[in-house]
Amino acid sequence: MENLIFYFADDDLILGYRDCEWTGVGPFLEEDLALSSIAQDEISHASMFYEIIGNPDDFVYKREPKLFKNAYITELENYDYVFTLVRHLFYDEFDYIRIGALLNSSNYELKSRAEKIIIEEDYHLKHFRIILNKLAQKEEGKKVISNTIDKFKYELFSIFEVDNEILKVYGTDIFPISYEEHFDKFYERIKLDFPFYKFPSKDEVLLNLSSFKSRRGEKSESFLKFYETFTEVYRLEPDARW
Amino acid sequence: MQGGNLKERILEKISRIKDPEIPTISILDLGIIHDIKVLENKVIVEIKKTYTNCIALDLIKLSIENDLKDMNINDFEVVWVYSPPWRSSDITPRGKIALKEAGICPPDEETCPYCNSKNVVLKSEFGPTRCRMIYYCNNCKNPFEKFR
Repeated sequence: MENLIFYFADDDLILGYRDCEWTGVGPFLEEDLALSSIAQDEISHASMFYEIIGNPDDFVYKREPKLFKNAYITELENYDYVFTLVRHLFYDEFDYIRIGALLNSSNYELKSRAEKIIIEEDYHLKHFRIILNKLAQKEEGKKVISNTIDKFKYELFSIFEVDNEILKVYGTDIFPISYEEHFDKFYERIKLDFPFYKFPSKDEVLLNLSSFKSRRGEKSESFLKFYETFTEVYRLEPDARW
Repeated sequence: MQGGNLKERILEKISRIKDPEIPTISILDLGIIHDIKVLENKVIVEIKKTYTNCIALDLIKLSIENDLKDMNINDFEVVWVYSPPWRSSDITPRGKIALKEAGICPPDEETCPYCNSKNVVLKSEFGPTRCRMIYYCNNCKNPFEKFR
């Protein structure tokens, strides 16, 4: 159970924290508000999952980096705003299907949370689809988006890295969707989101997944630096009560 | 513990708690009180989250806990319930009037809370708090907020 919780929550937590870095410096006011609100949502969703098995703060601030089950792409620096948007849409398409599967979970704690979370994820998806669609209306926008995907062609799919334990939970009553179905639904969706882009084939994507090891405990420099930052205040005075 | 009567008394007491960010609306009219269970030796108050990241929620929970202590109830739990999820349609008719009093357009309307004009336009789906969107009134030229 713990592993499954981390599989869901750690992506939300890390991506939410990364999104926060845009607060106050977003490209325009409405977008700044939107991304900051979405970041807050993601971190809240992480917290809702952690609370099933304990105190959320313990999992956020007291875990070793290698115990975080987040995907490689979520821990990377923001680079630029287009990357932030593209990454988030990839993640939200992936997460929406995953949370959707929990709506039929035999576990009440997961199922009830999914019912709440999916309402908010609807807003997120809508937001990222609209803004990227608008950007792609002009040739220049299409080019910028395409260049970004080119640069992170396989990294963007690293959300599908799994360890054996998670793979075993896929398709059970607790998490009733097969890994294959999850991927196929996602892949169809992402092709609709970026109709002008030619993605690598499913086989190529799956073949390249093995090079990403973040969910399996091998963290990148980006994560370690980031971890230093978000645990910095906690480490100053671990026993402080906030 | 006394059954029915105590439940009513608790409901009456906690119904007076207002949303800390919209002081005209009570948590009862906001529709977030799910159930009050009076068990043999414990009271359980079940409440719902409007939006999961709302920072007012912890304060609301604390206010309920303080009310229960005021009533000399020592064994209690205030717990979040996620299913069925809160929807903006859970806001009572009285709650909608309270929102308007605070200058916020209720969720199922698209009317300017200042001049009642329907000549309004959505400016941003995301607002100063998670539960509000930003609109603009073309008639009285005021920006206003609408409950999501």
